[in-house]
Amino acid sequence: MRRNIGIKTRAAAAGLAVTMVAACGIGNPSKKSDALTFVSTGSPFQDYQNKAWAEPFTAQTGVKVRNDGPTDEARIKTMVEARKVSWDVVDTSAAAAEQYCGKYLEKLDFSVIDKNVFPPDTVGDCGVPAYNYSLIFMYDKQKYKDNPPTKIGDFFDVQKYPGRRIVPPEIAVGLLEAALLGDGVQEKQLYPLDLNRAFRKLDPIKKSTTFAKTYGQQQQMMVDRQVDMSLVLSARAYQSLKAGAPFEPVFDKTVVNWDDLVVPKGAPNKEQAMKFIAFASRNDPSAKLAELASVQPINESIVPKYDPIQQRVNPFTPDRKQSIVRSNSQWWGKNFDEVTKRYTTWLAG
Amino acid sequence: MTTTTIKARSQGREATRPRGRAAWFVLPATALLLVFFFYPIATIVWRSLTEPDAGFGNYTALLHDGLSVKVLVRTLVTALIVAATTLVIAYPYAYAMTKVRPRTRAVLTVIVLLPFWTSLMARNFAWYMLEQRGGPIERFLGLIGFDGVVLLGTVAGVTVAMVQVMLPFMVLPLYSAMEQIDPRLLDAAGSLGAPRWRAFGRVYVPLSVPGMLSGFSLVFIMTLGFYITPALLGSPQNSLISQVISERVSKLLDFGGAGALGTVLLGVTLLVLFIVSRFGGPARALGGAVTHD
Repeated sequence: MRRNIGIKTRAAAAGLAVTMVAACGIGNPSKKSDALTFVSTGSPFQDYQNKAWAEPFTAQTGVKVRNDGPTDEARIKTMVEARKVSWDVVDTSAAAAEQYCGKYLEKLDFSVIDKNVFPPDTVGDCGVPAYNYSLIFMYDKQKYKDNPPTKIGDFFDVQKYPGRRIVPPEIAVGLLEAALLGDGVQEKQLYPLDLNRAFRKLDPIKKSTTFAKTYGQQQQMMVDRQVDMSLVLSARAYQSLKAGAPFEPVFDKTVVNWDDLVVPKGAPNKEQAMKFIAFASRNDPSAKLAELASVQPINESIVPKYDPIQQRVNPFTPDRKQSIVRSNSQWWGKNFDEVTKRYTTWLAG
Repeated sequence: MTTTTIKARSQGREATRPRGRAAWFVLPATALLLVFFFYPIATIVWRSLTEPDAGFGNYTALLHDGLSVKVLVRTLVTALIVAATTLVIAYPYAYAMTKVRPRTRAVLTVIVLLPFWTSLMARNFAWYMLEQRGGPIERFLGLIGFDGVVLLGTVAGVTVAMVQVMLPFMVLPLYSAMEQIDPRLLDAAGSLGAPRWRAFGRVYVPLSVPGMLSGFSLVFIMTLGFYITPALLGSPQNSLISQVISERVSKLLDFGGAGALGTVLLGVTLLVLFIVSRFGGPARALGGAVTHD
């Protein structure tokens, strides 16, 4: 009796499985569920993510992780529209996760991913934070040895602190926030960003500023001392210090952003993708990535073992924590296009 | 199979049926172009007219966004400067190539082609090093009295590098046009009393116009759509049209708007080709030019 039921159930299950596989197979080139494709910003950062997340994930689950990249929202859009999605997990900005949620991105499965490990207002329907990165104000300590800057506002003061500046290639990582904070806007009144005021503050430094085209360029220009002041992401600050750039951080106001992990709509290995995201947000993988890539874990109770140089650019220590100002990804998700257009026009003007 | 039959049949009738035979030979290339060039272009144009709304919204928006027109003009001016500078540099070089012994000519050709065989990225990075702050160019200009001139990130810096990249595209068409000029024509002019410089100006230069036209239009058109050099050596403050298109696609996912910009650029290119072909005949516009792209 029992045996019979067993066979029937198994047969039914097998039938169901076949149907499901068949259903998944429609318009879906890859049917394998023992692998997934992970996409991030490329080497070396993606290598760190592989070491910290993918390798232990494969060891534990047997699911292989293929790599592709770099992250490109235009490509996600194209793949989703053509219904030929080959990416499963993508590392992208929290703003993009917000902006394209439901349109080009899947809603995440929160029965697999534990919402509670993240700070409450960082979790969106389509993305959960993967790591924090900070926009750090750094200056050349040889150039300004007699009169080192101490406030974020000094970055925008060409009279008092003449010199060449460099800012990151992306607008959404905190340049406008830094400008407003430097202009005296209170942290609580920061959002919605007063764009007119921010661009007014940027006008005087436009001439002496390099608007970096890549993060690599920014890092290299600091090492080569082509610039005197820099608003730079922590991971790049670390790399340039390691390469000998004579720069010193100022922890007055530090804008903190985070990247999200998202799943493109119609991803071929959605289930594995959810498991991968859940895995990456655990304590050990998070800490490992923080140590390798010099970013900060989302869960602030994790204390990574940073090396001495990493400690110099870590804004999350007890004595520097008061400098942290968090970016508002909801606002950016709604306003990214408009701000980008305005920024490009302002730059080319 | 088919081709052999056709060949066999057309043998001996080559003079009478050149067109029919040619049509078969261009078929593969035409098919390739249709699938991989005209179809994508048609898609781009279609999207520029339908995304996000049907109509010319994307095109009118270009006029009012305060950026596109400015950048388009900047791109056209840059392309003109690059093409003109390249012409001025390449003309005497190509002329010299027709005057020297074959062995020297081979050396001169290799010198033109050498950068051609080097990776474009490598050349651009080389320019990056040369043009950056504290680089050889700034130091040299400092020596001759121009202090603190940094080319990197400026239109001038991009222009210099593009001229170098484009030089072969000017030298080769010029050379092939000049090579066909009969040197005895200059002697004839001389025998009729023209001084050397006048014979050169009145006889030689006009005869080299087809080469100048094809070189100029080739360089001008390629410079219009150049991406790598402006992206690497320029700056967002001095962006050219290709950078703006790229940003529209990758940051704003505005395929319609980017398509409109691309279509305008294509229109400008076709217009230039049309004007050039008025002067030199349609085949001359790109004829005699090298096959490299």
